[in-house]
Amino acid sequence: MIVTACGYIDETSFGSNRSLSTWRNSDSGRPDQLRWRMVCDSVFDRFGRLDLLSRFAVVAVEMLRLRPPPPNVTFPDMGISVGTQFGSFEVDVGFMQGKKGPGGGSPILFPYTLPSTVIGEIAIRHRITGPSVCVQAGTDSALAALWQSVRLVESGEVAACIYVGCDGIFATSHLCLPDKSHTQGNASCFAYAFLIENENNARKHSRTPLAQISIDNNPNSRAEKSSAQDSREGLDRLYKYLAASDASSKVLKLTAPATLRTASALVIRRIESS
Amino acid sequence: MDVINALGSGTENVWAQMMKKTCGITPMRRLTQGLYQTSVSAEIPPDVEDMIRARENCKTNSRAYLFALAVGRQAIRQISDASSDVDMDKIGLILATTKADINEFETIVSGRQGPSPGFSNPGLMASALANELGLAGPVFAVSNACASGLVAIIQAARMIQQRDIDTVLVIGVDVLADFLLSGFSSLCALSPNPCRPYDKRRDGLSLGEGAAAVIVSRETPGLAALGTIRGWGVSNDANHITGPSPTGEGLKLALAKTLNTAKMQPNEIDYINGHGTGTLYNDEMESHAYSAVFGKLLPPVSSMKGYFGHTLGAAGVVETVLCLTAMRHNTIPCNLNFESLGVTRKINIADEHIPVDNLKNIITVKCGFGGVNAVLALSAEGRG
Repeated sequence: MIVTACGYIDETSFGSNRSLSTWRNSDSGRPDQLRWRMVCDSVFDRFGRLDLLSRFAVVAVEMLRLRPPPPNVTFPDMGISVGTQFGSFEVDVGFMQGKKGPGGGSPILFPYTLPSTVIGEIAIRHRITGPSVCVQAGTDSALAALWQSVRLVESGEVAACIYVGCDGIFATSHLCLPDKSHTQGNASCFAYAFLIENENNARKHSRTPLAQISIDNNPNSRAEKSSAQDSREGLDRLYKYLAASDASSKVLKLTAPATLRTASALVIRRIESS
Repeated sequence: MDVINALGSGTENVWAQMMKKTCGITPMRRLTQGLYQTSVSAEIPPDVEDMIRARENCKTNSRAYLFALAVGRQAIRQISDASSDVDMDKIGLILATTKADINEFETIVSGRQGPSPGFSNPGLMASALANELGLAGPVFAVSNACASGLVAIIQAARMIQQRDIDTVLVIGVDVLADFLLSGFSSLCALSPNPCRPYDKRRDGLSLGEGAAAVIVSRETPGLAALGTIRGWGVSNDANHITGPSPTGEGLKLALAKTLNTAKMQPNEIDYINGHGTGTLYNDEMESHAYSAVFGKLLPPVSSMKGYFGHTLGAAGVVETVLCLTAMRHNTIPCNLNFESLGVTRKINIADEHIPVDNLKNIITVKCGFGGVNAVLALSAEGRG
C-alpha cells in the first residue's frame, strides 16, 4: 500500500507534495470566506454553496491533483474516509442562529449540519462512488479515520481511498464549544488530504508513489501508546514527511491514537524518487 | 441486543407492538405543535423514558446519552450473563449518530446552560459511554447521515475481519429536537400524517427517535449468535447532497457488492428491510435499484418507518436489531400504512405480516444525505 499524493490547507497557506502556496489575497487575513478562485483556476461551480468545512476539505483534495474523470465515468473502487473532531459545529451554530428569524431554518444550511456532507461533496466533485466513512473520536478523530482508510485499502474493498482530516471552527462557534480545551483557546481551521492506494491502482493511473504505508501490529509498540499525538499534530507530521524535501527521517511512525486503544502503529516509509 | 423507540423498550416488547400493527407516530408531546411542517412525530413515550431513567441511575440529563447507555448496558449484560469469559478490556465501541445529544447543543447555543459534558459531540459521547460501560477497546463515532447505523455495524465487521479486535458494541442513537424538526421542515420533507412508505399517497417522512445496541463479534464459544453478517456494501451516488440518484445507481452498486461479498444469489434473499422513508424520491429510487438487481426474484420488501418513524443515525442499528428479531420469529413484518403501490417499478410490498417456515437471509438497506447507501446481509445461520 502506498501514498501517492497529499494536500493541505489552513489559515496561512495551502499546498501539495508538488508545491506550496500562500493565500492570493493574504491581506484579507484568515479565510473565513474561502473562495474557489483563491486556490484553484479550474471551475467548480458548486463551491459557492458549500459550508466552510466542506470548502476546506474539497480544496485539500483538489491539491491531490487527481485527473478529472471523463464524462460518465465513476470510480466505484475508490473510497473516502473523513475524520473530524468538531464536524459540522460551525454550521450547526449558524443554522440555530438563523432559524430564530422569520421563516425558520435555512434549507441550504441544513444538509451541511451533517459532517458526512463533506464526503458527498468530494464524491460529487470526483465522481467517487465507493464506500465512505466519517469518523469522530475527539482529538484522535483524524488519525482514527486515517487508520480506517488504510484498512479499507488493505482489505481489498477498494483500490484507493481519499483520506481527509479536517476541522473548521471560527470565533463565533468557538464561543459555543462545550469543551474548549482541545482547541488551546483558539479558533482552528485546516484540512489535510492523502491518497492511499494499492500499487496496481497507482500504476494504472500513472501516479508516482511517495511512500509505503502499513499498519504494524507488533505488540511491542504498546509502549508508545502514551505518546499519541492529537489529530492535527499527527497529520502535520505526515504531510511534512511526505511533502518536505528534508529527507533526514527515513521512517515515520504514527502511534495509535488514545481513543483507538490499539497496540498498532502506522508506519510510513518514504520512497525515494529515482 | 436491545432497542428503545416510540413503541417502547426491549426487543420483544417493540416486536410485539409491531405484530399488533401499532403506529408510534403520534401528535407531538415534547415538541411544540404548530411550529413545523407537521404536528406528528415518533417520540419515546414519557413513561418509558421515566422507567429507563429510574433503572439506569444516569448522572446526566442528556436523553440521548441515557438511551444509548441503557441499550448498551443491556447488550453487555446479555453477553456477560452468557459467558464468564467476557473481557471488557477487549470490547470496542462504535457510536452511530447524526447529531448525538442535539438537545444539549440547543441549550448551549441559546445560552440557557453553563458547562456541559459535551455530549453534543459524537466523539466525546462515545468515549463517555465506553468509560461508563467499562469497555477498553477502540472507541469512536461514525456519522454518515441516515446510514450511520449500518456503516457503524459494517465498520465493526471490518475491524473484526481484519483482526483488529474480536468484539464491538455498536450503539445507534438519535433524539428528536427543534433543530431537526426545523431542518426537515425547511426541506419540506415531513408528512403531516404518519408516513406511508412506498404508498401511492406517500407525502414525506415522519421523524422518530430511538436507540439500539448490537454486539458484533467473532464466533465465540459459549456465546449464542443471533445471526451472522454475511456481507455488505457501501456506495455513494456522487449525484446530489440531499436527493437520491433518480435511477438508483448508487444503491444498485451497494446491493451488488453485498450479494457478491455474501456469496449469495438474489433468489437466496428472503426479505428486504428497505430504507422506505416515505418521501417521493427515496422510495422511487429504491424501487429502481431493487427491481434492477433482483428482477423477477425480488423478495418481499417492507419499511419499518411506519411503526416508529425515521430514527436517523440510529435507524441502521434499530432496524438491524428488529431484523434479527424477525428471524427469530420467522415473520416478515408488514409495511404499515400501505394501501397501494406508489412507485414506478413493481416491487413486492409486504402489506400484511408474512409468517415463513425459515426466515434465513435478510438484506437491510439505509441511505442518507451526501448520497451514501449502505446495505447489510444478515443470515440466520450460526444462530444459537
